[in-house]
Amino acid sequence: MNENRKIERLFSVKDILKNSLPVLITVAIIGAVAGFALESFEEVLAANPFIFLLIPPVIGLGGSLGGIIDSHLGTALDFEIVKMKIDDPVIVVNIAGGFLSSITVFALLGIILHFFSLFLGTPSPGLFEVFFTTFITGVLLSVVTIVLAIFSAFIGEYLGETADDFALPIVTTLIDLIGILILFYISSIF
Amino acid sequence: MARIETRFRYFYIDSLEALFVFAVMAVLAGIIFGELRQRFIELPALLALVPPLLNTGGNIIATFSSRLATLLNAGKIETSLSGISSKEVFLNIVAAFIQSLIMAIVLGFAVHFILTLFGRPSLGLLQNTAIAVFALLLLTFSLSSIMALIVILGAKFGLDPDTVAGPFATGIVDLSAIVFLYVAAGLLTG
Repeated sequence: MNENRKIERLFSVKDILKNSLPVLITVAIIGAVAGFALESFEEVLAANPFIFLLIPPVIGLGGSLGGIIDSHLGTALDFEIVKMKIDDPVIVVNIAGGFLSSITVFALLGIILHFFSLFLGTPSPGLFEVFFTTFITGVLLSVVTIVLAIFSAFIGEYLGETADDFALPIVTTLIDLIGILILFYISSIF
Repeated sequence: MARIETRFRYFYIDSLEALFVFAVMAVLAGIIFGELRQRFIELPALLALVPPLLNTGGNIIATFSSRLATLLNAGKIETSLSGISSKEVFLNIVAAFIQSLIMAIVLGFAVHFILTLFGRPSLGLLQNTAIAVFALLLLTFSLSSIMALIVILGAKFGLDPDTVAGPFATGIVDLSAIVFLYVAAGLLTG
């Protein structure tokens, strides 16, 4: 597509709506399934209110990692500085850097939340339990996120959509759903 | 090899920095969710709106910010106050509003339909939709202008617009969406 036309589509209300609504509607439906999943764990939440503290960071961090990788790859694909191959150096750096930075933050997350909970009215199940719950959830979620982020950026480019409008929404929504399921599964072990 | 290593270090640190800043906001979102949990425990059907609202709001604001980042990278928007009041930014805000209105209605219907389908209690079609519309419009109204400021002026101070567009956008949405949902539910469910 002509480069100028591609840029113009980024500030045309009609083009933005035309490109985003089918994706957003798909996302709302997957999001509603994630909502149903969360609602179905209401009794677990009422019994272990500490999980409330974990939900936004756990699903949010997965979505953020997906967002960083998608955003980098989207721009790299738009400006043609990356090849659509899994061994391209830019892709390798995104996988390694993304995974390591993500598990670093997840490792700290449990410790920080445990200490915050000491000052709040939400009792923590214990430092060890919280650390392992968030860390193992983080490792599993990072792997899923990276695979989904790279896959969807390629699909977005392949279908000729701008990666900005296509890849990001699908990745973050699927991560919300998968993140909730992983979090409740892992927290049931600890 | 050295070039890839440097890129890896750049990506790891860049990504870690972004995730860490996001994690701080996400921890606050977790604490807010924990503190406001009573309403969600009393009205578990409200829990079903949390993931789709967070991610629909996150998607709208993140893709909005991402489009601004691409326009900025392409030199279409200036990194100044006149850049913020440009036609390109205004049209993107209009598009975000229309997206929010349509998507809030879709997710109000989707959540009600999925909960009812699986025999879970719903707030009702009208109440679900009204809460989603109120919360999502409030969110888009406040956050689209804040993100335009952060993406455009952040670039002036050397922040990578792609990184800002992902983690900052979703972090701010997570932080405020739960509060907007709590307020909307308080006003509309009595």
